[in-house]
Amino acid sequence: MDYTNYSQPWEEKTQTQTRIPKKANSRFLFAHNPENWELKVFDTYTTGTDGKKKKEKIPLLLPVLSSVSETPGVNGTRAVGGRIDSSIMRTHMQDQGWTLLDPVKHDYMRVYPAHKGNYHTSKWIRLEKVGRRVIEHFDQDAFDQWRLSLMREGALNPPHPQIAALRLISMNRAMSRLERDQHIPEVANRLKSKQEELRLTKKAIKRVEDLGAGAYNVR
Amino acid sequence: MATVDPIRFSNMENILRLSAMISQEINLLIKDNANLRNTPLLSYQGSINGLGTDTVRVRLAGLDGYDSMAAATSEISDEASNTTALTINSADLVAARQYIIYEMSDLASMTGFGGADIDPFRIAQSIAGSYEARFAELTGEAAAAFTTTAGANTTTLSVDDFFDAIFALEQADSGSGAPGPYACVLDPKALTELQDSLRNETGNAISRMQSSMSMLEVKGENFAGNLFGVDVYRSKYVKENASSGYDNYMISPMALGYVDGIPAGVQGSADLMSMGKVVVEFDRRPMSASTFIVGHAYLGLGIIENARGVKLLSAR
Repeated sequence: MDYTNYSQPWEEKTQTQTRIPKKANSRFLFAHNPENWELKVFDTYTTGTDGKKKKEKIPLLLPVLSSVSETPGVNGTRAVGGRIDSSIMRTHMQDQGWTLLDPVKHDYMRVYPAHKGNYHTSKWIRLEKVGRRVIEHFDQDAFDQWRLSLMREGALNPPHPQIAALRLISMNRAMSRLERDQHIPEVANRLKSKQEELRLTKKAIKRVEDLGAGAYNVR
Repeated sequence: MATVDPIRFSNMENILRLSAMISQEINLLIKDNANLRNTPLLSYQGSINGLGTDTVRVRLAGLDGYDSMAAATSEISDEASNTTALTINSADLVAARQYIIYEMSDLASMTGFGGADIDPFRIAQSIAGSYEARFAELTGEAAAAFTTTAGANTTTLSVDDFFDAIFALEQADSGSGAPGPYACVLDPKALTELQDSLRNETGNAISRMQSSMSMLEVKGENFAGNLFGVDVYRSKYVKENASSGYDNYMISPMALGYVDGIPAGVQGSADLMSMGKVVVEFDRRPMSASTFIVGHAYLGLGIIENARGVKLLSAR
């Protein structure tokens, strides 16, 4: 059974009696800390002077978004008069440099009726019941496009090149652990893919250094 | 009157014979309510009882070597303008009501076998375990707000990610490093991925380490072993994030803390049982011949010092 039709936009109200077989959870906020980025490669198509379409791969650093729950009793959140007050948590997070994304403005939350309340998740997760299990399908491409649009529209600031470069240290460390065993074909393959990831990450950092926020004008 | 010939079990079932004899003992379904409450890893910041507030503000100050000295510009220079500002911070822990309610009819209760059979008192006893499960759940939610991350929502957990988390704690707060011991709480799926990664490890320093071998052994409840000096636990209450990943976490003492409160001297309550941190009451509904068994606890968990914890992401 596919539960997509039972999800609602971010509002709490639901209009159906069907409940998904999952325990209710709290509302959440997507939040981003300027230290957290991950590499994604986008395919773009440009038309050359000869009129032919040319495919180009553009590596970009996309924000790693944390989903922070508004659960009474967690990180200063409390229940006040029938509503959830997460102002302490939000203030603390903003003091530490987080950017909080409003679910109303950015429309990323979906609410399913569930056991003892509502189940909150992102709109890129599709729930389906197979046997006794609830299977989740995650639309990674759409999620990546949405994160790209956040960068393009300026909802989040581009990565600071120095902070982005910290990723290179951990990547180098992971590669050096593999180098001495590269005579093993499987290890050689892993090393090769990590080397490629390192190359693309450097390219993505260079792109931000050169273009700033314009680095994300990719369609 | 019905007659049977020959006498078979199928003819007698439900009349002269039982279709099934239920076991005397109530056996337990698989559960997971282990948590880090009674370990030095979670800091207990006290009870809110009699405090005049539901919030405890944990005070943090940079003392005892947080600030280093500086050389004077000369032996007689006046350095009065170079005083050092004391670095201070705080974390608010708010206790909130957590609950669980069961309803049991008189008929269901009175037809029990007695002893340890299911009745309102056995349910009340069970609620103490529900508190422990909720504690584990809230710990996972609190840890999901750590700033520093290792791993990724799109990849399985690997030894490299585990190392990244250790290094992040060792380099925490601009190189000061979070004092140990460290503990890591992983979703069961992430734990098996880490074990897979360990099995495929080719570096001798790791693959021949006694603790690596011991990490691959099946053990008792929730404790998975000690890997590179980090105690590893598995918990089903690791938070599932909205990017299709798990928010596993690695912490050191004072990364997370908690406060609680226990209702005392509740007026008008005829049947109130205090079971550790939980209060259980019975709410009688004579019009429907049933009893509500209500468990309450007041609990708040939160991050005390962000630099002492790392979120260890892995794919769901």
